[in-house]
Amino acid sequence: MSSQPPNFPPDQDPNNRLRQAVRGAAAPPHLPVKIRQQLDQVRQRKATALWARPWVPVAALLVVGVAGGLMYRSGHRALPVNPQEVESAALLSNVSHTMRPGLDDHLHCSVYGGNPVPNRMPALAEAVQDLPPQFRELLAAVQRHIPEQFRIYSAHECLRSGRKFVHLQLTTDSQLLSVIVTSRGVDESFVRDKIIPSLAGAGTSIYQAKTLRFQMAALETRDYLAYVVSDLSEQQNLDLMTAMAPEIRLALEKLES
Amino acid sequence: MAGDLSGAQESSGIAQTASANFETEAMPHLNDLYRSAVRILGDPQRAEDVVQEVYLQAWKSFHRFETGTNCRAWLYKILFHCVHHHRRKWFRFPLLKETEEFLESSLTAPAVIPEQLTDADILAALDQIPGDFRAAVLLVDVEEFAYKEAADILGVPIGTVMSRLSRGRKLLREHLADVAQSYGLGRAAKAKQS
Repeated sequence: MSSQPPNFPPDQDPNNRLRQAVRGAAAPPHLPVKIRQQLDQVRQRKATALWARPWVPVAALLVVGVAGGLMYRSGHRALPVNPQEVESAALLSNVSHTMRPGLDDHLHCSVYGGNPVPNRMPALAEAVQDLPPQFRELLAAVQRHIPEQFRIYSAHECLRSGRKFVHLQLTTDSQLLSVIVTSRGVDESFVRDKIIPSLAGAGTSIYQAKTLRFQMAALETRDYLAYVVSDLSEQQNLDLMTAMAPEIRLALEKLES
Repeated sequence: MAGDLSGAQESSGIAQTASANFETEAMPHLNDLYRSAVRILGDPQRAEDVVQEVYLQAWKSFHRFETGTNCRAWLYKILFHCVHHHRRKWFRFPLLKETEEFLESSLTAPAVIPEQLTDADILAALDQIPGDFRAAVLLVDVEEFAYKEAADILGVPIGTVMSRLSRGRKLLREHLADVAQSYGLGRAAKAKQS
């Protein structure tokens, strides 16, 4: 859209020119993110409204009682009791045991608004000020490989269900992406989950999962699990993790030694 | 865990499917809706608000949408509904009526089609067309909806769409001819030079 005097081929169809002029405008980058956040809020409200119905608490108590008994027997301690937890439990049930912590943190911190995309993007120094210093190498690895349209809006340590995560939150014009690291639990291993790695090379196996629009790629080291969770395409998400994997592994192994 | 929460997960599973379908069917049309809203409302901020509302309404009534039918046309129908609603709220004055007197006064001579114009010129000329005509031009010429689809979106008979489109196109070309003339281009300028 220039304000210079006109200059285009004389035989051009005016309708084509009109289409070209109008289609030159694209939605602002933050609009899809705002819409998705708004829809997520509506979904949550809708789920909350269900609990206002008089018969629901009674039915829920019954379900919770039965489920509690069954969960107790199968060794689980945490029981999802609010609608958001129920929804996330449903999503988490679609992925393997070892994949769950990364998805859980992404859902609650990035998607459900625990730490949402700010209206004003902070400068990098401000965004990463809460990142524990020992994870600076992880940050550097992410910065080196992340496509340039992504911006880091937060790098911090967070707590979810009593578990600590290092969480790098990134956003592009319409997508959310998390790079998450957490200590590996004794019963957590993709190998033990019998998941076949999507890619394996240079001592790093990468494991993938998907639920709804969330794509996950993950790797494990002796003491840590690292995840890339995003709403990119499956291939883009995998490519990103593949590019970062050697340096993430190296950074985590330094912490282990 | 899956077994323990089967009831909740079943309903949540349905919600997930709906979310996935909505994401696949509706979100790809965001740019189309936004640029149309900007041209119709003439204000990017209002266009953003309206497009957000469109997606909210679409989400709430997505259960009524039949997968495989034209989601884009359905979203445009919601867009025009929201635009009419917001116009009443924001402007509180009557829109230009499509009276024969007005049309006659607007269509005094056959329109000149200018040969060279910038995108900015074209958009400025489009913005000068009365709203109803502009909507028809946007839907049919820009977004390439069929007359029948445009009629359904606007909630008017197909004949009205064709009439508005024809008049909208003529007005647009007249405005463009004026702009071209101001640049020293087009038939009038050539006549002046000779």
